Amino acid sequence: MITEKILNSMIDIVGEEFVSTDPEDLYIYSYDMTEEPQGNPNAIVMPKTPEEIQQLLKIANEYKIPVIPYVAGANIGGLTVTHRGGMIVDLKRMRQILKFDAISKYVVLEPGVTFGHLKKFLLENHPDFIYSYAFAPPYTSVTTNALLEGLTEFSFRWGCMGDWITGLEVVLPTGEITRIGSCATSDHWNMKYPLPDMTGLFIGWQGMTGIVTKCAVKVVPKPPIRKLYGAVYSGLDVADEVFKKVANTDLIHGDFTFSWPTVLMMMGQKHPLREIRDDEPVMMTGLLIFANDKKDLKNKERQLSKIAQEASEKTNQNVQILPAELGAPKKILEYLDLPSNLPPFFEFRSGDKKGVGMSWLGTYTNPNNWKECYEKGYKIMEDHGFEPLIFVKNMDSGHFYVVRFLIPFNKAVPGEAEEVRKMLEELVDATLPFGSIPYKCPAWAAKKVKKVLDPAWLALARKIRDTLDPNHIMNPDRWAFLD
Amino acid sequence: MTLESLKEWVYACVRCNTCKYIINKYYDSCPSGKKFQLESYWPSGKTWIARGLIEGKLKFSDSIVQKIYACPTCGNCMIQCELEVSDHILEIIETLRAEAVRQGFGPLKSQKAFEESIAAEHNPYKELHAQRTSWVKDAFNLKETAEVLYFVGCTSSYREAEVATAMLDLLTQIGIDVTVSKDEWCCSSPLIRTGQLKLVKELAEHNMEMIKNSKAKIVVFSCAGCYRTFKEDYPAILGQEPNIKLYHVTDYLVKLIEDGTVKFKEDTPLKVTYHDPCHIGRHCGIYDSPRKVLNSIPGIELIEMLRNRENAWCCGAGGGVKSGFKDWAVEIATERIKEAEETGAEILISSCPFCKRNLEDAIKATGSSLKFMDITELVKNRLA
Repeated sequence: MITEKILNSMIDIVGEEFVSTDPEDLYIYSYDMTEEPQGNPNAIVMPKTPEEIQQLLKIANEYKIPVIPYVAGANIGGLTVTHRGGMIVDLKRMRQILKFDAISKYVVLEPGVTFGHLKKFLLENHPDFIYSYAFAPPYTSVTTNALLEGLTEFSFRWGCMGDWITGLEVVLPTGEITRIGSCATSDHWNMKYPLPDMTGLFIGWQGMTGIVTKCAVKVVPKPPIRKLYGAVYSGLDVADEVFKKVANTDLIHGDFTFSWPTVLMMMGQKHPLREIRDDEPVMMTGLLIFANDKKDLKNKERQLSKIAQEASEKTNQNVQILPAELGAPKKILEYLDLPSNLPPFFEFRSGDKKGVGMSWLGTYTNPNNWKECYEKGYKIMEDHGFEPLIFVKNMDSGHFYVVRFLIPFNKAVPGEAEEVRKMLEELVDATLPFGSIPYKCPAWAAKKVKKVLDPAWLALARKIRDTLDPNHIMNPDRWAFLD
Repeated sequence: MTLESLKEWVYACVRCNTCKYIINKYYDSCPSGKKFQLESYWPSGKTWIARGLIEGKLKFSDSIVQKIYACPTCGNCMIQCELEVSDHILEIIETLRAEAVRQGFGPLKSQKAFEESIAAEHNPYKELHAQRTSWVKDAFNLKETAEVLYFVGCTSSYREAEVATAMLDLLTQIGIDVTVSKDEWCCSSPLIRTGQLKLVKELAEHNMEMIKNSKAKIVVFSCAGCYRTFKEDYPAILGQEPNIKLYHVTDYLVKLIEDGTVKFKEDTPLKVTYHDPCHIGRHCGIYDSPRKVLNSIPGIELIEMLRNRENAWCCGAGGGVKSGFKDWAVEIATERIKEAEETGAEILISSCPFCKRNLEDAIKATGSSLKFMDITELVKNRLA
């Protein structure tokens, strides 16, 4: 409950124009693009500085008001929809790029900085450096993607984006402002070592342990040559073989693998998709190679061809790898120039009744079982009348994989959101036994994860939360197994 | 359009945020969102307000009115959004405004005066109709009828008469059989853009009858807003396309340059930049003609602003913002003036008297050394 007195305090902190309890504001922030049911906050507040957030959290703590950090609301996990009211702290106004260090190769961002704005900054000011962008619309937050352990284009080589964080400034739920990493000792934000690595108190916690107000992330030098290749597979076995073999080389920096129905969707086909012919590939991968010069590129191409040939021979299935400009449709190349807009995904099921919605089950899984997850998920999606739009990714040089079930749906069709939720629950049930863990995990899925969690892990996580957030004000609907 | 008719589109916005900035360039595109920041001020937020109203989860209120009117309806969001809903965003905003008026909540107080003034004197500026053509010099020696009718518009008639004078000077100097009508009424743009639709059909019918009486075969506009209204709104209001050729002056000048009617003299070099008015640019797709005109003039060097053509930053005057949010309108224009200054141009050119008004207000407010000139003034000055 936010009383008039509390509201006036909030207004004193950030100014009247940046606090709203207007029903239309609460309504807009009560939904995201997923099937998550409506959940109304009590107020929206838009701070500009860490000190303003500090004051807001002190008030929230005193009055035990839930606090939900927000930037774009595009997490596809219902992570900013509150079912306990409270204040949404919209961080959009905090969009400064505070520091760039070309020697130590990092950039310090406020949480409102989006992929698009970081790309613009680098292109205009430091064109020799690049960041790893998400397969997402451009105006989503770099910081939240990293804190939520999102994946991006170079995750094949360097893992999920939490691993790119080199320093944080955090306002703790109790109002203290602290810095994590080398920035705790100086203004160098380049390493989280050798002090005890406390970034883990904030990465992956879905905003339950504080509000990050500054985030240093790595940038990498732009390679002299960057070239995309397309691989198409006649079966999952040959794809599996290629994935494993390339993971044991230094050939690839980025990969995105799509089930063939996903490829058809990206090429503009809409629901209901035509039958897939037996002679069509089962999957396609975009493989990104960095090279120092043409000779290096030729050498990498040769190695890639050799891997393809050996994989074909071993599995008796076919794989064809071609430079993308020779094999891939222009539309797909455009979508892989990240960050990119994704109209075919959003509008896949928008037909006579115009309506969009997007959900997914994204899992981080082990490389030994990705095929089983994929096949089970494929069938579940078909059984529910949804095309098996599935995305697979090799992460951190094969240490783990992503298997993500993409579910565009139509919010204008009554009952479709509910069907999506049922399907998602089945997908979680089917993939958990293989060691898969949902990332950007919705609260309902967290309850399922609890069943397989080590009780000692859970106890430790609860202790950490109780210590940092004694009144459980921070994003209390998330990681539901902590309650 | 009714609120119910928007039902087809209000579920078509996923709030992916793409409407908020210029696609693939990442510059600001939405004056409303940039200023007010809350989701409800961005184009996607306004679409969701419509959805909430249709679902009965929201009711019109003063705060909703504030949000749906805090938008210059520049249409930049329609360019940046790549979903099917993109073509309908302005329709959603204008329908919300019309519904707000119908339910007694809209428009903003300062905008209500438009309707009263237009009802009484056929212009939104509370000026006497009898004075509408007082800027016309006797020397023009205009006839009652002519092949070309210049539809002057209220802003040029009452506030920016130098545009009207330059236009008529230009057309008469090159021998065009042109006239203006004392019987011209407001095109109704200020009413349509603010949701006040009561008088609109009457105004449209009157203006079409006035054109008919002028016996003109061509109507030329120097006002981007009037042109947009005739071209895009009148067919829907009247249920038929106007049976007459309509030209914005920039298109008309290209025709006259190409057929040799307009010839330019050699003159001193001048660096200029061009501001695309939303009402002819994004709303009607006229981007090339003004550039062709400028590039045809000897000595003129056109330097583009960072955001140009379909990505141009709005001047901030349209959609009722100039009357409803006076300071913010100038703030939006100030951003455009700074962008124009960065080109190194001496003159900022545009082709709309309403843009001129707001951009000149920003020039004054900032003390900029930039000069503003309507394209008609420049062309007139450079005629052979």
